[in-house]
Amino acid sequence: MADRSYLGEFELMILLAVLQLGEEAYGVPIARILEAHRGRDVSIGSVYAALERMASKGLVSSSLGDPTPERGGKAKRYFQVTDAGLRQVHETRKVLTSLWQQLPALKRRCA
Amino acid sequence: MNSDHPPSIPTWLLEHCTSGGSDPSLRGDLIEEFRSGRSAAWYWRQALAVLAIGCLRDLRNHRRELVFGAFWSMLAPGWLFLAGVVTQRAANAGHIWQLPWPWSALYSSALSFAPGLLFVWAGMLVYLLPQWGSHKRFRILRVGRSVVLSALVFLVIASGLVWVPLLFPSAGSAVDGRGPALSIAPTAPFIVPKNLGGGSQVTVTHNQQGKVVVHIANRVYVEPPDSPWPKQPFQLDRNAPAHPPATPLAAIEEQGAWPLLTRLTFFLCLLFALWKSQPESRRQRA
Repeated sequence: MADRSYLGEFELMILLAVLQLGEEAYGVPIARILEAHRGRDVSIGSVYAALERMASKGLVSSSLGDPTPERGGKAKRYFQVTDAGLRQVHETRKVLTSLWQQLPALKRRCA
Repeated sequence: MNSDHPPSIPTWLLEHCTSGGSDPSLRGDLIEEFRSGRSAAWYWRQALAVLAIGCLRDLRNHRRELVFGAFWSMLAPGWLFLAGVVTQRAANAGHIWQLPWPWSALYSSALSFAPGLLFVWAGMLVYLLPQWGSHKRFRILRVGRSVVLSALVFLVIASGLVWVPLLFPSAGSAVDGRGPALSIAPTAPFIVPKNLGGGSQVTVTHNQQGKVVVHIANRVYVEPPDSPWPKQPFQLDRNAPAHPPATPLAAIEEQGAWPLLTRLTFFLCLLFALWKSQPESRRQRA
């Protein structure tokens, strides 16, 4: 049996935010996008924890920018979604869409 | 009003209280957000969340040490029971030196703490011995350092457990309006298991000569004759009736506040020691 693990809700949201931000994807804007869409405060620590977890699975990669004084001399860590990460996003979307489409009862209730 | 500098305490905690320090980029993100108008309360919340996440990650990475520490510390009351029996027999046979104060207090403390420390080190040996052959994970210097640190942690926690209750007379320490009976403290509440007296209700009465008599389970201590400071230790009344002998197994099965506190002490100490004995790379692994 193939080893397939689907993305969690938070991981999927982070990957979508990283894809949306493109080359400007680092902690602060990722957290802002998530806050804007979820409507509640997001812990930057949990964003980093999820990104580290996904990096260990090969779904994202990261690179350091230059240190800047407005960040206390700390460099930004830019994240990119890898090919494997992109495949995982598509796969998860496919599964979720398929599941949603097979909910006739819910459709009727929402209508 | 938001100042340009983020609160120093959470910043310090972020740098020093996570294994290997938190990611500098993450700290930079928090500073950037704070300077863009976030409140100090927001910064505190974010820093505490980072610490909590780091702590959970560390615990997940040290599952084996957690399980072993919990198992080994369950045995602690039984070991202390045996140590108490041996010490008491040695004392009855006159094999324990009678030294003048303050050496008596130091000697007594050393005798009290040594069994506990040996138990912690024995636990480390049992856990680390199988790793001996694995040269990548086992480093003599690192293990030696963790052995020394474990002794310091044990002494601090155990000393606190012994002496802090004496600052609160209502908590059961032996007092007679003249302050706690410090001379019996090190062997009474914590180091000696409940079967031998530790953790039992301490009662204070007076004998016919008006001297203070302290009852701790099956042992009775009598106030020494009046003497100038420093006060002499209370004397053990060897004619006191003995309770039926208990067993180490009964001590291990014993529940209650003090046995649990004893186990918790050993658990924390052993966990710290085993944690420190592991390679840095494993401690930081996400």
